[in-house]
Amino acid sequence: MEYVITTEQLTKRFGKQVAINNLTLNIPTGCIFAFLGPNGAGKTTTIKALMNILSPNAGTSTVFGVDSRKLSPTEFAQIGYVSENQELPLWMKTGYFLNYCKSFYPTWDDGFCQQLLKQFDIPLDKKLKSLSRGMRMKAALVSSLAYRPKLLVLDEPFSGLDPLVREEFVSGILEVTETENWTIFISSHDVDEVERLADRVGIIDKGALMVNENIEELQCRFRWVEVTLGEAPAGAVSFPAEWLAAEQKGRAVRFVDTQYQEDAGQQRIRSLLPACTDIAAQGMSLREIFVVLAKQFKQSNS
Amino acid sequence: MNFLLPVLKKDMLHLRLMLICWAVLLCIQSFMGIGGAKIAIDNLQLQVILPQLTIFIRFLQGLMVIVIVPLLVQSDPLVGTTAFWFTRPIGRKPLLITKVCFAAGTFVLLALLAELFVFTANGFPLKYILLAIPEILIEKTSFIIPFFLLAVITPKFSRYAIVGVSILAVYIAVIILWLLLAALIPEVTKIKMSSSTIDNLKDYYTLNLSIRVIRNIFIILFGSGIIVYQSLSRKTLRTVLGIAAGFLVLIALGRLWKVDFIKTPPADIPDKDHSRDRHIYHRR
Repeated sequence: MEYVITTEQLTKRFGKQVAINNLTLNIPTGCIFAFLGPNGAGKTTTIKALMNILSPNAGTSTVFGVDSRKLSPTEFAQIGYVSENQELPLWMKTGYFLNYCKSFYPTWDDGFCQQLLKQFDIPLDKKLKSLSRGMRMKAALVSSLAYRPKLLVLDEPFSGLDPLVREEFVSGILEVTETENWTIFISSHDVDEVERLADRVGIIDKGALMVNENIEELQCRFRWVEVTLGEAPAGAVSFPAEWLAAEQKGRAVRFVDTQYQEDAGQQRIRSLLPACTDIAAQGMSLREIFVVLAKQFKQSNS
Repeated sequence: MNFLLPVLKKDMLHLRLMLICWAVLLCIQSFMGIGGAKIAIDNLQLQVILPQLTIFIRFLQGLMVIVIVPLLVQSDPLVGTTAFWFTRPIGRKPLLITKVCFAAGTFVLLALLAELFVFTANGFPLKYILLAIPEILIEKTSFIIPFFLLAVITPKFSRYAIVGVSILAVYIAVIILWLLLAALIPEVTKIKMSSSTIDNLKDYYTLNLSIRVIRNIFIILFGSGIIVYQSLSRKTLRTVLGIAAGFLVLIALGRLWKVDFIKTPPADIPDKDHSRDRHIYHRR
C-alpha cells in the first residue's frame, strides 16, 4: 500500500510538556483521515510537524515519501492546507488573493476555480478582511483546492462556522473529492461533520495515538449495551477493561463494549454476567464513541 | 516557477502608499540639495530654515524606512507558525532574494542614485562622486540592516516596535548608568578624557571615523549572515543569540579598534615636539 503520510515515533516537546508522544501513523493514498482528540491533545502540533512548520524533537515523518523537514515547493505544490489559525493576507481582495496563489501552482485550474467560486458564492471584489470568518475559510479552501492537490490538510476548518456554512463546506469537499483520488487529513472537534467525510479515524490523547482504524470497523466494534439481570447482584459487579462507561442500577447494567462482535459478543456477555436475561446492543455514532473515549482518557490521566 | 515577480509585485502593491511618501520625501530632499542653496543665498530666513528642514526630511525618510522594512519582511514573516506562505510552494531562498532586492533596490540603490544626481547637478567632479559611492552604499546599507534583523525575528509590527523600543530603552539605561558611574568614580573616565583633548582631536576624529566604517562593514556582513541564516533555517532562538553576540562584538570593536586607516594628510601631522608633549601629558 502506498502511503501519503507516515510518521515513525514522532515526538515533539515544548519544554517539559510533551505535545506529540512517539506517534506512529500511516495514511494511505486516497484515504480521508479524521484526526480527532480533545483540546491540547496534539492534533495541530502533529499537523505543523508534518507541514514543516515545527521541527520534531525525535522520530521521523514523511509526506509523499519526503522527510517533512525537507519539504520543498515541489511537494507544497501538491498539498492544500487550510487552517483556522492560518493568517491570510487580509489586505488583498479575494480576486487578487486567488490570482496571487495561482502564480505559485503550475497545475492551477481556472475552470475549476470558477466552479468553486460559484459553488461557495464568494465575492471577488471584497477585501479578505471585510469578509466573514466563514467566507474567509471558504476563500482559503478555494485557494487550496483550485490546483487539485493530491493531499488536502484541514486543521479545524469548521471552527467558528455557522451550520449553513459548515454544510456548504462539507458538501463542497465531498463533491470535489468524489471524482478525484485525493487524500484528506482533517483535524476537527466537530465529530458529526467529520463522520460524514472520513473513512478512517485516528484519536489522539496527550500526544499519543489511541485509536487508528476505519470508521466502519470502529463503529462495528463499539456498542452501547444494556443488560437486564434476572436478579440484582449481591455485590458490585466487576467489569472487564474493554467495557467502558459501565454503570449498574439495580438489575440493569449499561456499558460501552469496545470489542463487540455480533454473536460472540453476546455469548461473552452471558459468560461474564450469568444472571442476564436480556441483552440489547445499540450502534454508536462516531461522536458518541469519541465522547466515551475522551472521558476514558480523562479518567485515566487523572 | 519564478516566484520572485509575484511576491515582489504583491509587496509593492501592499506598500505602495508608504513607498510613494518615501519617494516624495526623496524628491524634496534632492530638490533642496540642488536648488536650496541658490534660493537661500539672498534670504537669511531661508538660510536658517533650510538646514533644519533638510534634517527634518532626512529624519522622516529614516522613520519611513524603519516602518517600511518590517512591513516588507513581515508580510511573509519568518517567525511563528501561522504565516500563509509556510504551506505554499514558496521557497525560502527566493523569498529572501525578493525581500533583499526590494529593500536594497529601493532604500539603497534608489537613494544612492538620488544623491549622485544631486552631486552631479551641483557640479562635483566625477572623481569625487565615484569616491563617495562606497561610503554612501555602506552608510545606507548599514542603516537598514539592524531594522531588517529586528524584523526577521519578530512576527508582527507591534512586536517589532515593542522589541525595538525595549532595546533602545535598555541602551539608554546603560548609557545613563555609565554616566552615573563616571560621575561617582571619576577614575573610570579620566584616561578617555585625556585622549580627547583639543591637542590630539584630529587623530581622535579620524580614528573614530575608521571605527565607524569598520563597525558599519561589520553590521553589513554579520547582519547579512544572520538574516540569511534566519531566512533559511527559521531557528529564531539561535538567531537572537547570534544577534546578541554580534552586538557584543560591535561594542568591542568600538573599544579595541586602533587602526586609523583614514589617514590625516601629512601636513596636518603634528611636529615631534608637540607629540612628545602629548606623551608627557598622558603620563601625567
